[in-house]
Parts: sequence; structure tokens; C-alpha cells
Amino acid sequence: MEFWIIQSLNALSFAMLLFLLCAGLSLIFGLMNILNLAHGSCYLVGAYTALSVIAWSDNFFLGLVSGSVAAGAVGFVLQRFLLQRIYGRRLLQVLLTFGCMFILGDLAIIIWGADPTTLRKPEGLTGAVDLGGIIFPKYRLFVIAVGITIGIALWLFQEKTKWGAILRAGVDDEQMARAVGINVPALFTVVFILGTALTGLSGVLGGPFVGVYPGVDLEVLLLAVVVIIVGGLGSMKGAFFGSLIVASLDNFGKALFPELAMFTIFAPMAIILAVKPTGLWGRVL
Amino acid sequence: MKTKLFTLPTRLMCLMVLMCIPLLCAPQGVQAEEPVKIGYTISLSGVYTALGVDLRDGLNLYMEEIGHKAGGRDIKVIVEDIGSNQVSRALDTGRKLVEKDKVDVLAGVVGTGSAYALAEFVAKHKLPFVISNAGADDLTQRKSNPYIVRPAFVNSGGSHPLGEWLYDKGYRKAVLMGADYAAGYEHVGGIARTFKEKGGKVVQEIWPPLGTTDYAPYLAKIDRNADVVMVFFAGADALRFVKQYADYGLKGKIPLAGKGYLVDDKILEKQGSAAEGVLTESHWCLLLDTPDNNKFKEAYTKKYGHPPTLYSEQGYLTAKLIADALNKTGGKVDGAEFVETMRSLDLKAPRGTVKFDKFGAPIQNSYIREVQKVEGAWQSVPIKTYPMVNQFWVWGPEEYMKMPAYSDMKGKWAE
Repeated sequence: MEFWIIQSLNALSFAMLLFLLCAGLSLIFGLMNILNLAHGSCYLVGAYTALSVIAWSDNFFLGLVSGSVAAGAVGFVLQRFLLQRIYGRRLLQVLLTFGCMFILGDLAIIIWGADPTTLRKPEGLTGAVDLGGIIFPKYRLFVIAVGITIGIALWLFQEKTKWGAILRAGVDDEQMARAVGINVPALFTVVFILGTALTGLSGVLGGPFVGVYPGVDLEVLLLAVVVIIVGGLGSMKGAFFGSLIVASLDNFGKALFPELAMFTIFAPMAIILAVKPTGLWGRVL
Repeated sequence: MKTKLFTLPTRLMCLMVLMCIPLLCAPQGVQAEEPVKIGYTISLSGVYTALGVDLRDGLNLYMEEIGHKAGGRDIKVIVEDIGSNQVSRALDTGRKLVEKDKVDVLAGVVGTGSAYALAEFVAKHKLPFVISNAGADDLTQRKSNPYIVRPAFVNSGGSHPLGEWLYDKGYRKAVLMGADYAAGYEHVGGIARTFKEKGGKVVQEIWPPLGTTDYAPYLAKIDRNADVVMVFFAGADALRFVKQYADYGLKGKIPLAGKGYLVDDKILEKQGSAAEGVLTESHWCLLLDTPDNNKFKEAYTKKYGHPPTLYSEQGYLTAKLIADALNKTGGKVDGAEFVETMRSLDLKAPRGTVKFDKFGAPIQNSYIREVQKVEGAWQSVPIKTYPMVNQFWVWGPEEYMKMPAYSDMKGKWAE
């Protein structure tokens, strides 16, 4: 029993991290049809920025804010000055964002060095809690809480606010949205910033247990792509439940059949691609 | 008329004749005046970048100390980035160094895959091959060749004393845990073999993939009745593993032991108190208090502004090995013979005396260390030295190589 509770909590905390990681990717793809391969770099930039800010200010929450802002700024530059020039040309977008990933990765090595590092946890969230005999790290409970909070906030934003309505209009029918007077280019920029900032936030949140190091950008990009393939491109619901499914399969797969570890995360992806290529909650494009 | 004299074919012929002149004029005996060329292939991009940088800095420090001269000849080092785990790139670079730069010695190599590929390559070209890092056992065991010298380590070499020491310390039931690839099996297998040989028991084996993001599912599986967890993780994996081990409340409950990479000096400061009490083995330690090591640390820190790492020392020793051999041969570099000279040396290294066996593997001290707080910083403090350990431990080479290789033992330790 103890085993199942711990593993479920593990899966949940990993799922929340995945959700924050791929919500932005999914959002951007859904609205603009851009597969942003520099997505992992936003994670990297967020985490490294927070590393410096936390070292300087000794405040984790300042790190969270600055990491998101920095990643959002990268997103802004990427969208406003580069991607907008090649709007609608899929191959160019892929090549451009892929190139940006390498450039940002190398810049990070120049600025922060190549040694692997982790972010310091906030005071009060270090160590483990004893939940009636079950030892579980406090910080992971915090990640679960943040993930759920942001998930709810994003849902409320999408469903209940005017901006959310504009966003949904843009996703559903861009031309119609333009026709009724929505400033779509501005909407694109805002969503791109929001998406990349969320990714930066996931970088800071993941920093204390996943760590930051050269190459993490590619690793998280891969995870995010797996999740959005399972969950479905362009759907927030897909990102959320896709994360839950992938994290649970991965976690229980590794715990129960460790020799299949490399398999547990990619098998569901392959099956979904074969059976339902749009993903479980994806829109039919 | 002038233009007719220099038609295109004539010009081309003139050019060809001119190009041949240096070839014709190259005198045979000029070798003593030309510099000895060392091709240094290391990882300056990809996941091994940090190691490559330290290997380079260590080598440069020694070269500077001797003024790039040994055995009466100048030494020219050609540093090449071969990326991380890019075997074909390593081979291409090797070819370039041999065919274009005409190097006399090939050195460096961080990753094992590249080392195996280059080992075959140097045997074909009869080129001395000094391996500054890659640790795969069989490079100097079942797949050895007469051109290899490794002033670094053999993966399982330092594991043997650690396994015995852990048994002597009183541990009896061990959980094995390591990254799921050859180096993991060798590092951990070595500890397990001598531990079992003494009478210890392996109760569980867990092999997470290399680069596992989250160790939580594996940590939750660890048998809580074990006395010790024996592990091999390196780099970002080690950083995450040690922190997550503490996060899940295992630190202080089941002692954690492993190879030095687990608490590498550079990641130890980031692991902080999570690494407290971790027991590791290494062939070099920062805190080793000997005149040679202190001199090395001081010079390195002065030049680069930060203390050296294990890899810096390996780079330093790579340079010293080649230079000492050149001094002995009077500057002559001659394929297998030069390798024989290198293997016959008694090196005074920062880590202590280093000799080589007939396979080119190091015979060197093995230091058992414990992570403690020293003057406000977490450090690996040496607590016991096993002097002059060779790669076959107490066994003879033939006897040892008849036993199954560690890669084949994975999954068979716990019976």
C-alpha cells in the first residue's frame, strides 16, 4: 500500500512538472501552428536565470518570477523578430527554432559554464514530510500544488475571461477572428510570451530535482513532445491529462518493470500515433 | 609572346613541380629539430564538455611548466574537439590528425565508445595512444592492444578495494544501483565482486537508464533492510541521484557508497548536505596532502582561478607521462617501442606513484573517502589508502579474464 501511495504521489508530481512544461508548447501550436523546437531552451533559460537570481537574492520566489520573465523575453524576441517573418512556413520554422536551440544552449554554456547544477529549494520546503509512515519530499508536494493551481487558473482564463474567449476564437478560426476585429498578430505575440514564460516557470520548478545542465533543453523538449502527442496538440486539456497519463505510465512502468525503463515513455506515444494520430484530446486539424 | 609561355597547362605543371620541392628536400635526419606532435582529442562540446575543459587545462599546465620541451625536442599539442559520444567524429578527427598533421602520439578521449574506435585505429597506424579518461575495462583487458597506455583509471580497478572495504566495515546486505550501460556494470560490478567474495550478499539490483530525470520510482523500490547501497552515477545523474536519495529520507538510513564520480568535487558543492556521509573511492582526491599534490593544486589554482578536478589531474599526468618518456628516449618517438618506454615509467604524479602493467593499465593508489564538512565546505576526506592497486586485484591476469566480464554479470549478482 505504502508503495502505491508513494509511487502515485511521485507520478503526480512528475505529471505536474510535465504539464507546466508542455502547456506552453501546446498553446502555441494550437493557436499559431508553430512547433517551437526552441521550447527546451526556454526551460533552460528560465532555470539558469533563476539560478543566478537565487544566488544573488537568496529568494526562490524571486527566482520563479525572474525565470518566467526571462523565458518570456526570449519568447518575445523569437516570435516578434524571427518567427513572424516566416509565418506559415512550417519547415523554416522548424529549422529556425532548432537553430535557436543550439545557439541558446551554447550561450548558456558560455555564461553559466558546463557543470551540472541544481537550484536551491526554498526555505521550509527542504527535506521530507512523514505522512503516517510514508516519507515524501515536501518540495514535490509543493510542485503538485503549483501545477494544480496553474492548471485551474489557465482553465478559468480560457473559459471564463474575455481574453480566453479571444484566444479560443483565434484557435478555432483565425480568419473569422480577424474579421470581427481581433488584433490577431498582437494575440499571437501575447500567447507566445505566455507560453514561453510558463515553460520558464517549469524550468525553475524542475530545477531543484531535475537540475540544469547542458543538454537538458533537448531532454525536456523530447518529454514535452511525447506528452503533446499523447494528449493531443493544441489542447490545454490534452496537455493536462496527457501529462498525467505519461507520468503515471512512466513512473509505474519503471517501478514495476525497471528493465523496460526506456520503453515506458515512448511505447504509449507509438501506440497513440498508430491508433489516434491527433492525440487523445487533440483537435482534428 | 609572353602570354604564350605561360599557358594554363604550363602553369599547372610549374605549380606541381613547386609542390614537390618540399617533399624532395625533406631530409631524413631532421626529425630531432621538428617538434613532437601530440594530437589531443577531447570533448569540448556536448555532455562531457566540463571534463574536456579540465583535461585540456591540466595538460596545458604541465606543458607550460616544462616550457613545451622534453627529450631535447619541442612539443606541439594539437587540441581537437571530438564532441561527446560521437564515435564517427572521433575517428574522422583521428584520421585528420594522422594524415594531415602527422602526429606522433594520440592522447585524450573522454568517452568509452570513441576510445574503442580509436584503439583499433591506432593499432592499424602503430601510433602510441595515451587514454586520458575513458575507463572501459576491456581496453586493457580482453581487447587490449600494444599501443595503449592509460594514465587515468580502469572502471572496475578502484571498485575492488571499495567492495572489500565495505565488507570490512561491517556491511553484509547490499543493493546495487547504477546507470544502465557498460560503465555502470563495470564500476558497480567491481564493488559487488569483492564484496561477495568476502561473504557479503547482494539483495537487489536496480539499473535506471543513463540520464534518468527522476529517480523517485527507483528510490521507492530500494529494499529498506539493506545495509548499504552501492552505486555508480556521474555528472548530472549523480547530482540528481544524491539529492533525491536525501529527499526521500534514505540519507542517514542506508549508507550510500560508490565511485568518486558520485560526489565529484565540482558537483559536491551543489549536492551540499545531501551528500553528507557518502562513501566513495577515487584514484585522486583534492584533499590528498602530499607535496606533489599540493604543488599541483597551488599551480593550477593560480593559473585558472579555481581548484583542479580529477580530470585536470588526468590531463596533467597525460602530459607528464609523454614528457617523461621523451626524456628517456632522448626525443625519439617510435610506435610500440615508445609505448613500452611509457609503460616502464615510475611516475611521480599528484595522486601518488603510478606504474603500468603489461597491458598499459595503471597500478596506483586507491583512496577511500567520506564526505564531511571541512572548514565550512563539503569535501571528500580520504580515510583509507589501498596502495598500488592493479586492475586484476588479487587475481592473476589469466584467471581474472576467465571470469565473466561485468557487462555479462548484470542481473546475476543477486541470487
